[in-house]
Amino acid sequence: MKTAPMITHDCKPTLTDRQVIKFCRLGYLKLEAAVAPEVCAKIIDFFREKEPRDNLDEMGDACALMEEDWFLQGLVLCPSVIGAIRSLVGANFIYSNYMANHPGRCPEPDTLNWHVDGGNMHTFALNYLQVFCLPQDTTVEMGPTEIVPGSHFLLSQSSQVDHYGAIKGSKKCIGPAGTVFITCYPIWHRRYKAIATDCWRHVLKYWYYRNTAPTRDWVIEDDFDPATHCNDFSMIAQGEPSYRRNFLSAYDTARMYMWLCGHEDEFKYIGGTAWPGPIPNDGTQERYATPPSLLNGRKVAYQPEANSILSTR
Amino acid sequence: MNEQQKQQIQECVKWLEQGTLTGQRLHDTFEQVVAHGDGKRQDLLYLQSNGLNVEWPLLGMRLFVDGKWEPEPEPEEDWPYKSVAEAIKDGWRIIRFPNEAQELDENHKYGLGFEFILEKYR
Repeated sequence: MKTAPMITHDCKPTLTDRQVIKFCRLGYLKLEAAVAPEVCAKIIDFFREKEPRDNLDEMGDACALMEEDWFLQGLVLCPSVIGAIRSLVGANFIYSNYMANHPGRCPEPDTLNWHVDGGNMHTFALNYLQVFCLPQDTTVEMGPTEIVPGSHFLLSQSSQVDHYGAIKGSKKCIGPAGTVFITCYPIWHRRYKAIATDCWRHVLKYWYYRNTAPTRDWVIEDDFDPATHCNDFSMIAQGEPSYRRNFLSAYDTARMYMWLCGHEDEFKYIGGTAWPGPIPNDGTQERYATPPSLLNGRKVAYQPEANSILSTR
Repeated sequence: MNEQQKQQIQECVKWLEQGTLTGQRLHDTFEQVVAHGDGKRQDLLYLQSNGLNVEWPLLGMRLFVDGKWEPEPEPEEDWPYKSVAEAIKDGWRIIRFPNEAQELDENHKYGLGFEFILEKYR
């Protein structure tokens, strides 16, 4: 049997530095109504024919849609989505030929338990993306997927998060038809209870993979410099609930960002108020211990090194 | 053992002496006396806080009452407690403190905040 090669695609990256950092910080990116209404209508028609049979396995496998050009071009390679995909997993990215659906009956009185998907790996590397698309207008009443922003950095397995309940700052993945959520694979999620009646909620789930080494080739803004605008790295500085003490989330975000830039080796946890700690800054002062590749060619006088006591024992 | 449970056992002994104790009657008595113990049940309250200080604000919560999970209160303003201290004032007893060892390394964070497990026995 001959194995078909993986399918690749390329396009221009559309995310800016700020948006890439936001993705690193939160572990997800929401693109509202990104997929065209006519594409969503065809997807819903595909499932509506199956709904009366009430067979979750049948509705859960949406691979037949991958055979349709309107689906491939309109959803998997949707122009307003793949620019973000290209920004995060690089040029000539690979897309999966598998398409899953999470059909959810409404009503469903029980909220499912929090979990991370199987095969999760907590890492600062970003080699793949898990994407959710809402093919119908999705409200809180329909039992949307709920996620915990920033949880992709919290070491955990499903067995350890399964008993959690209400979590401060969790977000429900709701939006008009065609809304897409691009997520970091190990983000915590669950299905929220559904109080809507006599309807189905569908969520398409699919993946994209890196095919080239990471490099900072997305859109660079003239008015934003990651070497000095450190508030973007920190959940607390952005007014978001943080599950890390003080501004420790900024270090996680910055390390993933530096990995995406292709310079993870330049990331040093120095502590104190060194980069990327968010001390008051008008964006004009170079920060101590800034990674050299972010200095636009300026030579760094001294790169400090520090090892945690824990790592030297 | 409460009075009602004592009566149920005395009745069972009476059936035995009369020769009328059946397997079904013994089973029913067992259900009533043993399954409900002393009539009390343990309720659990999981609270995830920002730190070991019981007065710090909560990050998460979940209640296990009468043998099942309670519906989660929404929005956050409707959570019954704002801190572990508030739950203690309401009669909850801490039965497990957070594992501090997991918090020593500033470069790694395990799970959601600092988890306290509390109980009420009623």
